[in-house]
Amino acid sequence: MDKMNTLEKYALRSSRTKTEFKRYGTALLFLAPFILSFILFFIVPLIYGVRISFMNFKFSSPGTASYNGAQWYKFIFAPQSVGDKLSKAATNASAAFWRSFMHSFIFALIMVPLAVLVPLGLAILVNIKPPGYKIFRALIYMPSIVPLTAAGTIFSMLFLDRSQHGLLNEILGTDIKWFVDSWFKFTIGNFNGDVALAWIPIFLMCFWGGWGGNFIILSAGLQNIPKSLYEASDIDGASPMKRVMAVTIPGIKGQLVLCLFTTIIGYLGLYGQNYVLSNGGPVIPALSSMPGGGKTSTIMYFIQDIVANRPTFKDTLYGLGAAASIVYAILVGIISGIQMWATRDRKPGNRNSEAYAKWARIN
Amino acid sequence: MLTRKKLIIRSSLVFTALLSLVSCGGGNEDASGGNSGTQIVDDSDPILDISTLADDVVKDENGAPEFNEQINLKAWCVIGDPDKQTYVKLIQKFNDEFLGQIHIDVTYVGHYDFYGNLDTTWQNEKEGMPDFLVMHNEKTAQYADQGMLYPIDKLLGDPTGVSMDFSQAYDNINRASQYAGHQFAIPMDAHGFLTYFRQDIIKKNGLGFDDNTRFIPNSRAEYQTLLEKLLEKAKAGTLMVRNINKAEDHSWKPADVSTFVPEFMQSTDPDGLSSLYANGGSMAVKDENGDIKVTFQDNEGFRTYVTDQVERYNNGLMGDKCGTNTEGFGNGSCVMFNEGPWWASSQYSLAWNLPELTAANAELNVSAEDAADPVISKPFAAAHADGWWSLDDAPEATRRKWYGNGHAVSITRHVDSMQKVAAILSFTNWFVQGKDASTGEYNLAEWNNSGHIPAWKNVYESEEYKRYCEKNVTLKALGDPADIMAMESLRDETLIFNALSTAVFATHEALKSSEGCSKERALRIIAETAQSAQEAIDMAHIFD
Repeated sequence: MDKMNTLEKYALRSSRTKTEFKRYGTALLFLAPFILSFILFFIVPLIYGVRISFMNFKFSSPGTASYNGAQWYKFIFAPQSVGDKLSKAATNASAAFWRSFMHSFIFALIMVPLAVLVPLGLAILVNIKPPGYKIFRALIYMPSIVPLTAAGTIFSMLFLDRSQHGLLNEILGTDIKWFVDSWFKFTIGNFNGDVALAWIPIFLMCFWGGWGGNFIILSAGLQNIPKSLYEASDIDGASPMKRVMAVTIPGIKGQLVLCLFTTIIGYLGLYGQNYVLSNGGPVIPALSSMPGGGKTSTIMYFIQDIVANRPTFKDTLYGLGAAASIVYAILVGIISGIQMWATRDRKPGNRNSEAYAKWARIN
Repeated sequence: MLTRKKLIIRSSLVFTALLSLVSCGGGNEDASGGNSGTQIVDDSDPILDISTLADDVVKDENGAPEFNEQINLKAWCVIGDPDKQTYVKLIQKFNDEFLGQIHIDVTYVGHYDFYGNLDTTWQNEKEGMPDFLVMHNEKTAQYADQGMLYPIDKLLGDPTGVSMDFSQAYDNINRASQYAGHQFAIPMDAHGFLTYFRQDIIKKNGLGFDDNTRFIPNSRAEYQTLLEKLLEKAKAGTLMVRNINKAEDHSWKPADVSTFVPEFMQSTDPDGLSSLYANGGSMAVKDENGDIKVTFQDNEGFRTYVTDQVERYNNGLMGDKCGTNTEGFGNGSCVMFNEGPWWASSQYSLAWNLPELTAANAELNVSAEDAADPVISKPFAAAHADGWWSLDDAPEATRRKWYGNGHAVSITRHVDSMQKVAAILSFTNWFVQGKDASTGEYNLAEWNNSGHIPAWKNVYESEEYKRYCEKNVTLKALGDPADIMAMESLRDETLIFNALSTAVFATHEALKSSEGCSKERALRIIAETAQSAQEAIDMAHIFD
């Protein structure tokens, strides 16, 4: 009897192991390349980046670095506390960092709603399938296939000064200094703000080049909404606007959240467009030698200036670049978290089924 | 319980794997850092250390190096087209001459990529470094300070058997190749920005100097007077200009004052540095603690150079309303502009000193009188800054100096054999002081003919150089190497140079803006830019 029990137990355990292997092993096998890459190219650099952000890291002799407490974070958050000799430099580095961050943040704040709503509008219009809608669809997506550098050249030629035969200035007969002038200036307390006119070409280039991606995602979503829902809304006598709000938008909520998420992250990391159009300028003389010290510099510009663009900074300020990256990642995480929370699924289905069950119990 | 155990074991394994990966990266870096540390053995200053070179040099009975087995050298060269063609020919000539002894393989890297590639290779992949560099001389100090280069003065003579007489090198050019009292590069040549003049317009309107026989100003006062008189006449409708572009109507007509400006926007850093050096200034100095202090903002000559531009722009003496510089110059709505020197002979002289201007031509409206005039028939002239930025109280020794950089050869620490060093020095000596076996002419003079003046006195004074100079517009305009002032030897050269350039550039931007720019604002820009550079230097040397 005991022998039988043991055999049964063995058979049961063996079968459970086999089932577990079948259940998880295959999945693990398929996931292994990703997990390995994720560890190698994300987790390890992340840990290393965090480590560097607390070190006196020299790019030319990395093995000699020692921990410096949170000196680089003090540069960003409390520049006055880094010591007499460096406090002025740290204050300006901090000013350049926060100015760059605000450039990215405000740009994303203005850009994101437009970069999602305009493609949504276009997708809804194309989804009506007017004559020639396939051509429209192709034309709308076309800017997205233009490489960044080519788009930069197109927009540069459009917005050059009159003396350099800028196309817009030539056509309109104006002499607007797009890459030199300020759009407007303002003062808040001790802070004097100066918004460069160069943001307009950058904005237009981002808008033009970016709408295609969101348009395609939203168009695909629209095609998956069951026609029966539209028929039902017609029977209920819904107006076209009501149909969009009650059927279309809820029907593509998943795609909308995805577009919102990727667009926010994309524009908070803005770099390429301002690099090719304005090279971060016009210059702010008081911050001209600081990383990210231009009127169109963004947070990525600040980081790139340290880790790539300026060899002098790269060698000694890599830790500051790492600290700036960590702070940036946390801030992006917070902003994306807020967005995810605001657009979370509130489970209306559960609420309805609970109400139905309650109703059924009563009856 | 078993599950928890498994979890602990699995977590430990993952953690260990991660840790090993992290320390793997760290371990590699430690090794490279450690290696570079152990190479320094007995010299007090690591940048002067030559003990890493194996003493394997082979010498003949006269003590000169001998190359019985072919030495292969890898070089990186910053020279680009069009002068690159001449350099390629000279390298080929050397390789042929030293066949079976020394062979040089040159990689040409454009100057936009050269220093970035060099920095990256030095920092990340030292084994990929070339043996020697042909780069701009003002970069020498920075790379010497980083420990990338060998001190050449410690390698010449006894260690390698190669000798060079540096008394023949111009001190004013060679100063950029020295650092910490040592020679870290061997200068080849010098060049600088030139200003191009429409001498036909100046002569035709009687605005030349010395009774209208000299058309290039030679002082700040003359330069200013020329600009003012040109504008005055244009406003009065009496300034006669003509289009000198090929096959255009070359008749003289009154200048259109709505588009006319005497000169195009001046250059940023090249003339900015000329104004600084001509007035006895410097980009930076070392203070009593050995710290670098940015000083260009304090030099009255440099400040005046910038504020002069503000006044000239605001008074219509300088600007860009004539279109691009070459457009305005060609059609006569601009009389002066400045650019790099090589364009003078390779493009501008050919484009504007046209044969059709040297013969009477009714169809193109070239009169016989104009065609016979050597100045009017050759309207394009080039010159270097000749006292244009010197204030009245500028030091006599420097007032006629102007800034120019140049190329120099330096040896990287990738080389670990003295025999290889001997080969590099033999090549460099051949290039800068050697002569062609058949013609007896300096090899360097052949290189100079591509648009660079020699950094060596005996080459400048040679007959062959004089002969080249006669025919070469660029060489003629660059003038005497003794007048050139190369950049001072600075560890933070790039940062300070960029700041000086940014100060002028930001003033230009302010001038072009709708708001405009006053002299006070320009001075504020200079001060703020210099202050920012100082802060950046303090940050960059945070670990010193």
